[in-house]
Amino acid sequence: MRKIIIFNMVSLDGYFEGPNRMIDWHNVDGEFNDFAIEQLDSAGGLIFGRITYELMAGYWPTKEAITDDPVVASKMNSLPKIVFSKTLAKADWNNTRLVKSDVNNEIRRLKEEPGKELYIFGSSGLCVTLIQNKFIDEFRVIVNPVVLGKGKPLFAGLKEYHKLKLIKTKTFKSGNVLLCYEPEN
Amino acid sequence: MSVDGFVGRPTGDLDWMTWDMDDKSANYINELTDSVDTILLGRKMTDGFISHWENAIRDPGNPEYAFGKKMIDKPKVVFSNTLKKSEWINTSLATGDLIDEVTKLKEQNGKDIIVYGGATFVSSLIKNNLIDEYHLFIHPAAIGTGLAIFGGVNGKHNLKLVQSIPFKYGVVVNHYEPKA
Repeated sequence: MRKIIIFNMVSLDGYFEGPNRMIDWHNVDGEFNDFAIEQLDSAGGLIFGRITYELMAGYWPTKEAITDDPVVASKMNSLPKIVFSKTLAKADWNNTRLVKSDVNNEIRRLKEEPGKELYIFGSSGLCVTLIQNKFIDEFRVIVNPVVLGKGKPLFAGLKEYHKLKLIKTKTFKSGNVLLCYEPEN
Repeated sequence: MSVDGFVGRPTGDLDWMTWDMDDKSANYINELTDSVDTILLGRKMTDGFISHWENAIRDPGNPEYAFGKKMIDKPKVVFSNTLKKSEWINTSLATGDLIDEVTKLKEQNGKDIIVYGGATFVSSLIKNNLIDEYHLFIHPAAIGTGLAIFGGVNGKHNLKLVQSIPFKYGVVVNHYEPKA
């Protein structure tokens, strides 16, 4: 069964985005970049909800992204991607499949395919649905040493609490802390 | 704190937390506790806090007995605008302006001061830049929404990670200081 992993950069106060979708607070350096590349290398594909998809599709194919971050940009642009949306008319980012049908059936099908791990970045609404339906195999966060005060909470809308099992941690020189969890059951 | 940044469910429930601590985490907490000689408490949290620890020290066989003794014996200061006198053992009241009262305490001689909660009280302390160290115990749970302690912060604030220690029972303590 293919693993589905949620990954997010979060602030200490649990936001993955500041107000107005601001992510300028992300604490990134060479060590983080190495981690990001390693993560993308282990990926067989990326899964998105509409909002995160549109933000990423609007950035990674641009000249700015390719100049600033050529290795990550190349991987983001070439990896197979799926976006779940009932409202998007089309999904033009290279190597993207738009899925308008039921999320759960498609995820179930994807997990039964052979292949490398699938990653979800952002996409908080989609993540909550998948967490509640027990499709998520690993939760990864990098806690940035920053407090935002306001922003979008990581798993807003989660109906009950979900206990997790800590499987790995890593402290970065920048003060970022990587925390990896599996669902408890 | 939960993985998603909350210190309690909206009701204040802590049922999502994990309590079967190991030696390493117990040592960390004991060292931290021994470094302070004063505990600050928000009014709403005080009854529950003190009755929990008074109960723990009724029976020397209770695993929480030793820690309970520390919690009961250490001088406590309850912040309240409405109380006239303290109803609890080893506890005094702070009834004036928050910043004045805390500054007065910080200027005294003595060991450090610790605050555990409640969320509203800790939020006020953080908002008014009165906190010098954060020891955040990240419990292995995602709770979606709940009580926050950084909600009063105005804009982005960077912190300095001093250390991050994972414990065998699944909790990770992240120790931060405010950045100058």
